[in-house]
Amino acid sequence: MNDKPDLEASIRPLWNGDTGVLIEQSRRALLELIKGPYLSGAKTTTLWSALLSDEVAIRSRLHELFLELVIDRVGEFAFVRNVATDERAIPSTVRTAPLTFLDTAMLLVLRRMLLSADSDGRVIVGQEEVYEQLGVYRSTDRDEHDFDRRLNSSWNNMKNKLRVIHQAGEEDRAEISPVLRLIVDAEQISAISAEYQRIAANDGSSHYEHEHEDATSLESPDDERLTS
Amino acid sequence: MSALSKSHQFRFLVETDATWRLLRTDNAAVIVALLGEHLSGENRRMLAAELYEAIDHDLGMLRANEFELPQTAQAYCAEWRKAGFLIRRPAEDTRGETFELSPGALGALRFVEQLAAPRQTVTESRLSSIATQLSQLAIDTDPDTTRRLEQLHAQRDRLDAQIERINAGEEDIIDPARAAERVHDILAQAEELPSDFARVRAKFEELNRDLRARIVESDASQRAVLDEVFRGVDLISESDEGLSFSGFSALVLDPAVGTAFDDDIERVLDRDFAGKLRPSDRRFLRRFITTLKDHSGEIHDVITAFARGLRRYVQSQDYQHDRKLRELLREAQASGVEASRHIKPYSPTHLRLELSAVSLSSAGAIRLYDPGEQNASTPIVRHEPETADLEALRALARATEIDFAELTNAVNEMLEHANNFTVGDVLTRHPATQGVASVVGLLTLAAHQGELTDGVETVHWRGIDHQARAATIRTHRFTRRLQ
Repeated sequence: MNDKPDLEASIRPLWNGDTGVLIEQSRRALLELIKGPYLSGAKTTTLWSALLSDEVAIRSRLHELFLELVIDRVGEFAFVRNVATDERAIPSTVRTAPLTFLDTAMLLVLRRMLLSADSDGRVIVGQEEVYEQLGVYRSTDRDEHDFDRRLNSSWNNMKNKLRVIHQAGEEDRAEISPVLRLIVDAEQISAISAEYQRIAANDGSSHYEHEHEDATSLESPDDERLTS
Repeated sequence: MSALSKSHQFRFLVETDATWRLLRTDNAAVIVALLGEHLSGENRRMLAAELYEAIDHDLGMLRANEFELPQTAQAYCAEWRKAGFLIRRPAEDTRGETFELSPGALGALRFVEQLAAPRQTVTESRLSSIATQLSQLAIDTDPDTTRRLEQLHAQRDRLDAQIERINAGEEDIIDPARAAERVHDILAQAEELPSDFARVRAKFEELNRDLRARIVESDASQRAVLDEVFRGVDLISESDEGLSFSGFSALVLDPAVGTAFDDDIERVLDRDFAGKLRPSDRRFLRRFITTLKDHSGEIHDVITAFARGLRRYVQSQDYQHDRKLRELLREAQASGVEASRHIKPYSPTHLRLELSAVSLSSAGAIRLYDPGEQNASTPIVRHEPETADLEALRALARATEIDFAELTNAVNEMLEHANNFTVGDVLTRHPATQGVASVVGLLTLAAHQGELTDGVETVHWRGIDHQARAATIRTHRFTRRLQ
């Protein structure tokens, strides 16, 4: 896995005027990583082996986009995240998404389901099971029908925006992305815990809503796109 | 007391055993029929979506025949999975999930099959096979070598005697009825194997879950499990289930055994009596070894994956990590309940989740709409409707249907001159215009409205290909006007 200095010379261009330096499969792997949410070794074997054999070069291409490559060799998946550094200010290539209270609760449930399943197998869960576990968060004054609607919106958020679950066969069954193992880690869980405690302590949501508005305006630079 | 303790034990089984539970449900007949139809044939595993479709189709038919089944296939399958009749697994090569029968459901299916078509259990072949096994067991377990030798010698003498009888031409092969009975007996035993496989797999899965739970959760026994895994003891393969399974699979995978088995099956199927076997039984026997290999290969993979996963789990120290994470999750979820009283479910929090995808959008991807692309490139051909040609339609109908009107007229016309003639006479007078179809038509008319006699006659006609043909048929006579 050494980055050959004569790599550029040895690569045949893929089309007229092509100046790329990666072989085709590695480029496809690179694109898959950028498009996200992750590259799965089980689903795309050729791209996975291209990634492993060309890891140094691909890592370097990602660095040029301020992205860091995370590879889980045991679970056979890889994904990208923003490079974390204090040395200088760098753009955030991948965005972060704001979470509602129910989103965070659902993430915890999904993470817990991943934990109780075998560590290497695929984990497919039913919408119903997830909702059932979230029932404890419905305060007595909240209408059940309304709460279900909120649950649906969080579920769709998980699926379409955060992309941490993927539909598996039927509408109400979903595979939990293995990436969730790494992005919802001990640190993230503790952060959620702390936030919950803060919410419980800061009783009175008006104060909270106000605070939140500040937070959004402060954090909006995070949403900055790579191109802007 | 024994009746009491047994009652307790069985009452527990009635509640917990999937086989018993299935047989007790109101819809047991429908469940067994549906699951048996779709999951107990050669395909024992089906994609969920395909199973729903198949069952929905059947449900429609059942409802039309006054079965009361208000739910959808999907709802029923979910119910049956909860009840432990179905097992759902992620499909290996696609995104979805598959269903297969649980060991319990297989047991129920077999039980019902036995009720519907009872096989004679007290057959000669079963008795002789038990006798052979018993005597073999007696020999194999005898600690006294002289006695063991004695028994083996006796066995050899019996064989020698049999050889002599064959040489003298005295020994006869067993009659077809008894041979067929033995085959059915073998089939009955062989058909029990799939549920054995399902049970073995379920057992291994349980073992795996249990070991993992022990590693993560309890401290006292955890040490023992960890130590053993570290020492390289393959807990799953070394379990009772693992040992007996590996004995079985070694036998199945032994090429010599497999070839001999296949040869024997080939020879048995060549025998005359085997012609009476159902095609499905013949296919089952032919594919038997392959099926066993597939099943045991699959279970092998499962065991290997479990054992490897377990060892890795312990070695990578993931379990410590998992224990910590479990603790953190529990705490977080508890504070979440507290927090839920102070916040609306849809209210934003200060938390953000980092996405793992870059959303790609570029002005370069925008394409202008080109109305030219919508133009049809091939010229439109106009087909003018014409007046239908009655003759052409008639010819078309005659090519596909027997012209009974023509045949009836021919017979009735002949009845004006004579009142007793045969199908052959009609064909001589009015040659078949539709080839063999005319002959069949005449025979049909004669069978319904004429008389059948004991004699035979030969009829002649020209086929559609204008070749002369003849057939010998039972003589049918026309004696009265046809309707």
